[in-house]
Amino acid sequence: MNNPPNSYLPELSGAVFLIFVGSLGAFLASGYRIGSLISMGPGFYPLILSVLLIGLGIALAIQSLRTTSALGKIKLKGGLFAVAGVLSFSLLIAPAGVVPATFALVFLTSMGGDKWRFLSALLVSISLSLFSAFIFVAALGLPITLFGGH
Amino acid sequence: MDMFANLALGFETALTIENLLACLLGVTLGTFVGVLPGIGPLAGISLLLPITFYLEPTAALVMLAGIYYGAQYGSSTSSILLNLPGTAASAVICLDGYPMAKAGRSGAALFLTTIASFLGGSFAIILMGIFAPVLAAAALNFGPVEYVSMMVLGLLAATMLSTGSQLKGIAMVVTGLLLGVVGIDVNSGVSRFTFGSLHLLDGLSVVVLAMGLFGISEILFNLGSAQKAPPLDARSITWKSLVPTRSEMRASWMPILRGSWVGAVIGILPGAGASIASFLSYALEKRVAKDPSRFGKGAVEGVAAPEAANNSSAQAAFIPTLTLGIPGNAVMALMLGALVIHGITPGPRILIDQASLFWGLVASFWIGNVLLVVLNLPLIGIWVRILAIPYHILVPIILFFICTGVFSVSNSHINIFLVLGFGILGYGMQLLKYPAAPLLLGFILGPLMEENLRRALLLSRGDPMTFIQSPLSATFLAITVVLVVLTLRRKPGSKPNEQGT
Repeated sequence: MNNPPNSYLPELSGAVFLIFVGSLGAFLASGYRIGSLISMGPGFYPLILSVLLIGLGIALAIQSLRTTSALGKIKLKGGLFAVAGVLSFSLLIAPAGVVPATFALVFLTSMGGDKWRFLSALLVSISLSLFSAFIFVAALGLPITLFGGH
Repeated sequence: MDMFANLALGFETALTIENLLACLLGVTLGTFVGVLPGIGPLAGISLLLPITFYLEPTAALVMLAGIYYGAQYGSSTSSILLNLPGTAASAVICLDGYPMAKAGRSGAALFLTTIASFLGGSFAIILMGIFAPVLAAAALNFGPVEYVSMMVLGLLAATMLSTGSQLKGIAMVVTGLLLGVVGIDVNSGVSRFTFGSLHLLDGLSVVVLAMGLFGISEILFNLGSAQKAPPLDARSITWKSLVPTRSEMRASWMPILRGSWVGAVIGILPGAGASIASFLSYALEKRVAKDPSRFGKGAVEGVAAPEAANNSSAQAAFIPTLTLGIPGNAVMALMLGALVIHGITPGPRILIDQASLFWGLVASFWIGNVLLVVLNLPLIGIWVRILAIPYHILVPIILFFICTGVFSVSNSHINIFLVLGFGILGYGMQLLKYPAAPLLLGFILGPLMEENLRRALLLSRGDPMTFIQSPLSATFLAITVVLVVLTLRRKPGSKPNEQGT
């Protein structure tokens, strides 16, 4: 494979993330009552799991120092546009309604692609808006408004 | 025999209009996501989970199951015609299916996969009818001690038998178990890991988790890598070309039978999914063949056997899921999630308390398989055209369904934030080769595990030896230990294809 520079950093970062999650879990769990084996408090089970996760993270960290690997190619642009699209949908749907949210989602996401055409994005937005009007609002009766907030 | 009475009840249930429609919708959508490369059955099922909230539990499960095995069918179609496997399980079908297509035998290859799938699926359905009641009856005697040990075995086996780093798989199981803790603790009323958010009191939604890990992350991962579908003339597949020659038929019978067996055995095992089944049966065919050199150049056995195996295993995977409540793979975990959403506790009591649901689901597999035959053969031209939908149109549409789907779960945009968060997490996991399926398994089984663990230790007055004192539980744990030791020992050096230096 002709992957870009090999390094132990990607693997190590994954392991460190696990240790972080485990520590966070252990910290939160120790705030709940632990109890004993015979009557476990709410903190007992998550504490065991968190400690286990920290242990696994450490094992993976040690393993990562002995191996190197390279990340696959990262397509930053498309991903960022997709994330922006989903974010704007979530921010728009309650105050502005599903139609503006859908337009924002479709336009932002398709702009991240290699080739984007205004017309096709417009068509997709319109048909998805119609779809929401018929299925979500009329048929299923979801509490979603087409335009504007509640 | 009891089985016939049970199956009669099943068909009675499955043949109601609502369930028939659910089945038809399920297999159609399944074929659709199967044909499309980049979206697998997992994304398809998680997309449709919110819709099933509005259905009866039986119809919901029938539909979700239909997506699963429909996707197996559909992905074979794109494997053969375009050398693009829609799911991992059908990557093997490319090996001989695509050469067959290039040799002008695409019609026959498609026909054979349909028949092989149908027979493989039917084989597993019959097995299920026979063995499910036996297993469930045995599992009825399980106490919390046996349940905990069985879940430990199931979760570890699921990661040990899957490909890639076992350590990462186990880490993901534990992460999933931890995520399952989020929400109010039923025993004490304490809200755990909610960060003060009222929204998280009920726990994380399985829909949010699955759509993030399997929907969004898949899209982020595939975004730039637009696969160019080679141009294909759908009209080249005529009715006449579908009929295999007599020698092709004769060469396929035994491979289909062998594939069905391999698939059924693999399907019952936790963790070993349809892809392992199809790879194994391909390897088996290659070994028993008189002339192994034909493989990879369009051998019919290389299409028929893995296809039978992958459908047989898809059906057989339901056996442990529905009788023991232990899902073997992520799709099965989602099925259990759907059951829980409908207020049905997974486990052996399903067979007794929900007899019509269970047998209706089993019968629907068979109906679904018939529908797939009807659907796949005449509609191949349409499926092929679907492949021509460009990715830049498909992505916004899928994202739209994910967004509206998770929004509808609790009418809250917080769920969309969460799904995005899990999507980015899943993307990172894919980059670093952390498997997502064990995480989902852990998440689904987590609450059950904690409850049974607490109960088991309460009954034994806090004595952890209770897990060894029960012979059954001790056996489960012994198998777990053996499995762990075996995999850890196999590790160094023996895997040349593993990412090493």
